[in-house]
Amino acid sequence: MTVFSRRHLFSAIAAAAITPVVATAHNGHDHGASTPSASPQADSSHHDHDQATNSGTGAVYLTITNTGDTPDLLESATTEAARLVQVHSMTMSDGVMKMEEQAGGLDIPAGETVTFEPGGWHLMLIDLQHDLSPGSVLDIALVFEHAGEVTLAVPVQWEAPTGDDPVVTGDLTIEHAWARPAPMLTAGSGMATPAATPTD
Amino acid sequence: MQADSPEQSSNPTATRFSNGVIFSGIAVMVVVIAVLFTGFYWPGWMKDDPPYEFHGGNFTPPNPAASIELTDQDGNPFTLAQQSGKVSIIYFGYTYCPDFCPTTLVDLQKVEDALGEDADKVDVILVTVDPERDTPERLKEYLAFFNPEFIGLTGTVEQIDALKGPWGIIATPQPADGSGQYLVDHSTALYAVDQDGNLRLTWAYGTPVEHITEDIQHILK
Repeated sequence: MTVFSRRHLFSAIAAAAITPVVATAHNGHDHGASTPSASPQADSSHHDHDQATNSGTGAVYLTITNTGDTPDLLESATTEAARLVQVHSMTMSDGVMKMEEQAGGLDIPAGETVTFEPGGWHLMLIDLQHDLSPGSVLDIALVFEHAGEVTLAVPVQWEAPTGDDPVVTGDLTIEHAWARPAPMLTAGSGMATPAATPTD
Repeated sequence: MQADSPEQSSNPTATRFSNGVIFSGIAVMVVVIAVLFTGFYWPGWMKDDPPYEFHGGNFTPPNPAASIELTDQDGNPFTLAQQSGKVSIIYFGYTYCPDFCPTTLVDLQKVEDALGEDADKVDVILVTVDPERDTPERLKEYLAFFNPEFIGLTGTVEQIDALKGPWGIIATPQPADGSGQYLVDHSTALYAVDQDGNLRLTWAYGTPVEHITEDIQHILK
């Protein structure tokens, strides 16, 4: 292992290990519906604060293979388990991991597989409505431009599934869907609360 | 011992004598070399492992880790100094984080599992980079989902900000969405502080569980 000075190491870490993510807005009253095209600037003017009671987040991972000749588009995703679902991409650029909502939907190129996995692409579940408990199943509806809507029964478990039955809809084959267990988090939730007041 | 080479000698007897001396000299040298090897090197191979190469970034020489004085998930004061005698794996993250943080915590649980009995000598510490939302209660609720033994730390915004420089952490909240929720850009590295309070290692996001485990096991030796 290369030995380097603390200053250089910190610089390297700063360059390599930052994960910028773009906070994105939503239509506050549109429960469960995802409109990935909204931008923070556009929506922040609404100020229709939901005062969400729960604010845990989760992630759904899966693979989508387009076996057809035409590209498709994952337009949105919804689940009753969360107030909102966003497609988040992860790109590596100059050693910086950049995570952001995939505004406008996610291309599923013809003949290719898009893989959602930890540390990479994921469907972010925002404001969980209940705990995602290990062993449970959550239903999530994916809406594609061409393949239409398909509802998946996603197992909640700690590891990616090793074998499962593919779901085929149109030219798309969806496999290996899973969600990591996550708490809905009722404590200290909702709007940003005043700074924590530690006892010391 | 000085021996004439055959080429320098015109006397056949002298040549034979010289050959004998040369053979004797070689024999002695072989024995001497063998003894040197046996005496100084062979036991070295037998006794010592080759120098361990850490998988993680190695702080050399180790220096005392920057102090951390915050509040844990039970509302109790916490100082890094109280971890003396234990190895601490420190992660800077937050509970609203959907992917990197839970992925890392799951990995660290696997490290704890892999350490077996040694897990008692290792603590996982999540320091929030989102003190405005991450109250002790929220950290407690969150960590209970992974491992209630994990330590969660929070404090005031000023307290957390004060850690960023010494620990080389970047954490920047993004604009809030319509419901006031926001994501935080943050560093994803892990840090190991040894039993003596020295900052020893850092691992980049995605370092395999086995590598972290091996490094920790070496620090514990």
